[in-house]
Amino acid sequence: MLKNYLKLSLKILGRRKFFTFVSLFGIGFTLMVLTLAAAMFDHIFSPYPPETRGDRTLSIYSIKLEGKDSESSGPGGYALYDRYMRDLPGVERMSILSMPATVLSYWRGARIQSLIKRTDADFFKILDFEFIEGGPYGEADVTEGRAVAVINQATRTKFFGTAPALGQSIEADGQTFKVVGVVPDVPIFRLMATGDIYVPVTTAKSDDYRQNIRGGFMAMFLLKDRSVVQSVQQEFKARLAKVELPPQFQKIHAIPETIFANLARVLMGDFESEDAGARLLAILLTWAVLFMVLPAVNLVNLNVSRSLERASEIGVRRAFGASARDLLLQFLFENIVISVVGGVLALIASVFMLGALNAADLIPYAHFSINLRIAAWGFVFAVVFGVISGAWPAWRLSRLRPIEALAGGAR
Amino acid sequence: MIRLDDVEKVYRTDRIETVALSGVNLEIEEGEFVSIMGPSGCGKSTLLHLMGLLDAPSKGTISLSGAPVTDASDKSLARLRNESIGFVFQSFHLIPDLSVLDNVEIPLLYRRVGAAERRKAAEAALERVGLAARKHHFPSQLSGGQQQRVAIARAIVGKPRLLLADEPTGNLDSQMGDDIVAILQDLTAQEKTTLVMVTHDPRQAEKTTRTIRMFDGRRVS
Amino acid sequence: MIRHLFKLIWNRKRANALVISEIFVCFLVLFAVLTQILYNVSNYRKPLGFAYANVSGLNLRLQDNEGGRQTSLTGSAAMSEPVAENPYQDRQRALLQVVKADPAVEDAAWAAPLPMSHSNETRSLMFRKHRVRYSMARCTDEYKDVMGIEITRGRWFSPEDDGGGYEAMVITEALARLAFGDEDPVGKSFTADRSESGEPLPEKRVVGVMGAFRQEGEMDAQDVYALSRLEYSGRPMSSIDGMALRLKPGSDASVEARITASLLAAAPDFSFRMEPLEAAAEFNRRAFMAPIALFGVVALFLTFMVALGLSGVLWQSVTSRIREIGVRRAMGASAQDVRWQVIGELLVMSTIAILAGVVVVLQFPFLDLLGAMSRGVFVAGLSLTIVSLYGLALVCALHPARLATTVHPAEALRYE
Repeated sequence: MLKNYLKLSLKILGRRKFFTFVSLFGIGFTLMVLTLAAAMFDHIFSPYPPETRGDRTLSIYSIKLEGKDSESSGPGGYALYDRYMRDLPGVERMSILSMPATVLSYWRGARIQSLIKRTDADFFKILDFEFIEGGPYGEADVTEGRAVAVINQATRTKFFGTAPALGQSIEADGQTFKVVGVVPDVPIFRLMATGDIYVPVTTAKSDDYRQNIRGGFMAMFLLKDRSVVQSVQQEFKARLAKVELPPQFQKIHAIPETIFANLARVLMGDFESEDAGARLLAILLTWAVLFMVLPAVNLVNLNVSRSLERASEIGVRRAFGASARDLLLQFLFENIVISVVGGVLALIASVFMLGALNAADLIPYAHFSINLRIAAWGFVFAVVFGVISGAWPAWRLSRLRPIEALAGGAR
Repeated sequence: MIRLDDVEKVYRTDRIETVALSGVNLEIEEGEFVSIMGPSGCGKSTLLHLMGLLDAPSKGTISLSGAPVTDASDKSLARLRNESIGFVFQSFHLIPDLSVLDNVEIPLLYRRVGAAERRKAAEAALERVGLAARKHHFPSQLSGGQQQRVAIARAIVGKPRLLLADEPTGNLDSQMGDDIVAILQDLTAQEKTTLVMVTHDPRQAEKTTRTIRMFDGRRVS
Repeated sequence: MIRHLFKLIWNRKRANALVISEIFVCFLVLFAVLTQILYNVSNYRKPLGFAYANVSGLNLRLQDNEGGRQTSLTGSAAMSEPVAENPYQDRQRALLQVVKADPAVEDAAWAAPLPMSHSNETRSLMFRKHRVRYSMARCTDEYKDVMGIEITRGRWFSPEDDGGGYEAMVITEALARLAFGDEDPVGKSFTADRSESGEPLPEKRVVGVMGAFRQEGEMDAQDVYALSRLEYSGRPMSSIDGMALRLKPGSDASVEARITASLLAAAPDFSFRMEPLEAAAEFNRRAFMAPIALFGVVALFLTFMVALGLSGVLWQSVTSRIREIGVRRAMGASAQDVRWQVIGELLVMSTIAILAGVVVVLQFPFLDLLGAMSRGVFVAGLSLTIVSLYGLALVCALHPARLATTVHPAEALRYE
């Protein structure tokens, strides 16, 4: 039976070229936009190297201080993590790292703009960079404040072209660093890992940062395993109560979270609510459904208007004993088939679009691609869209009374 | 009133050529009630469509009130159909989405007639066929005979001089058929409307003033 | 005839409701995109209030901590602990001298936030019993010449404001209108009605009015803006982290490198970042245009899809109504009449959808949800949407309408 339906749906696709084109264009375009969105979503939110331990890493991007007549939110300070959050039970390692800051280098007559990130040695033990050249700097480099740097590929190209960088010196914001390692580019939305130049935190021009509770720093916590997430968060909160706050503030809010939740906070500018991640997901899904409305209405319209074409077929099927339910399933199935065909076209188009997007370099170091996970999402979208746009016309067609159908369709 | 000279109609498809009418000469006088008879496929309907200016002959000329209309433009043909000719069809062809009154008003929509006047004329035409009480019904709510009477009201609302009826009783039982033909007879008697009716039914043909017989696209009497 | 079309559409409402709702949704999409585009075009064409060619922004930091977001409930810079006097004033005077000493620098001023800096200082206060919200920056007296600010009324800052015990302000015409109405604000006090934190409020005084100042460049909608005068000894000066430099035309990266090097020599514990405002403005323009272009392209494709769909539906409806067309032709409708009926029906349906859309969209001005958008832009966007939707309907109907004229009455009526 299914094979029979499949054959019929493909026949119908071939019958009226114009309508097939219109349907496929609408479905394909809609699904392409959704697939592109899914590819970007996946690229932004799923753990990619160097976040290979992303499933048991919690990080904290921003905190909030509250006082009687002022409040302040943004990245936490070095002292908050260094003084109060070391050796949380269940945490294997902690890393304190600065927000990426823009620095300029004037190099052989050119102006190079880079993001510099000042980190401790544990940074390279929590994140799993695949070094192209050399390796990370270690504990000794950090405690001694040695002027060494790990740079990314793009920075190596800007400074040295195609030549190796290991052992060379670079200048940034008036400071000179010796390159000890080169790592691949990390897209800018991977807040913890991204950067052009990584240097020991102790190379900062001033030591003031060591005293601050608020300002300039993020932290990563590598847990022993997934199960201790809640207990770590609770212990973190308990320790916040002991933090000595600047005089104008009475309260501090902060919580280590997953990569997704952190990025959701940044994207939504929401540093207060408990579940920014869930809200972002809800907003994105709402947009996806809203976006599907117009194409779905369009397809429903087309399908309903074509019902007359199928009237005599329905009449004959009903006359030979098909139930309304049989017909409903048949028409629904047909619509899902055409949606899936559209979905495949969309997937192919998406590959090209993503290629163009990567080439345009709109987001630094982003490299969008289609993988199996996204293809699966595309398939889900196609089926959902097929059901949404096919249900009402199929229901209408299946309700056609046999006599009317044989007489050429109801009004 | 209407005159056909040596009219021929040929339908061409990709491979076959079908001769529907050949060498038909015909003249119908003002006020006549003429019936056209013949077996299925003899060309009666084609003849009626040609007289109604719905179709152009392949050869020969058609004149209406002495003026040839064979080469007239679409616009002037539409105007002639609108003002001089009325149609009644076997399967009524009422527009299902419009009420009885709105259906009857249709021919007047294509003239410069005000809405109030249009309504008055449509009501008068419905009165004429005895259906004034059903003016707000929809075609699907009426019986076959009633639908045909609405169709007649629609045909006469523009006061045409020539009324063409294509088997108007074909879809009706004999009692209803008699009613319909009675109304048509009454129209020729009262308003001197020229009437041409295609029919299968010799009983109805007898009620007309003259019968034209067709066979295989030719006029046989 | 139009009444007849309405009747026909009303009586076929089940089938037409879908088409109407599709046009309705399309209306909303088009309205959103077209209004957004018009809004940005109208902003783009407004006066900017300053000239940024050959001006560079210089950012000074004691450490690398970008990304902080500081808000305060009172509007006073409550982050740092209160200092009576600016402890850095001597160093700041010296740094400005270092910059001005460079041969490529025509003039320089302390100012923050700088144009195109993405940082926004807003103030919200009760003034003459009305809430006034505006954005602001603080600057030293050289800022007018560095930025090429035009004073329309009153005067620019001058040493006569020194130690006057008030905060001298130059406000834009838009802020003047908002706060003072038709009154001339020059010389008037702009102090809030009452303090929200209980502290006594220092006096703010308007000394002059400037044409406009759209801080973030051409795409910035906000021109309710004020500049406050900086005094080296004053508390606000201690947190100023920006400098604007007017360079000689043709200055390149080597000039930047030279200035940065002399600054680093004078203050090795600071970080310096210098960037031509032109580059930042270009970045802002792109950052603004990218999402609009993206939505625009998506909307364009959606519209194209709707156009194809409507065409298809109409075509289908023409084929299923062949007999009706035949009857109308027999009753004296010319080919033109039939064509206009098909077009007319879609136009009538569009009208219904547009009316529904207008009712929905009118809620924005009624509920005061327009934000910074002017009513003129709203009305223009609405009109443009209506016109393009009718245009779309017309285009969609043309082919099916032509198809309807080819219906041969005799053949249409032969279906028995």
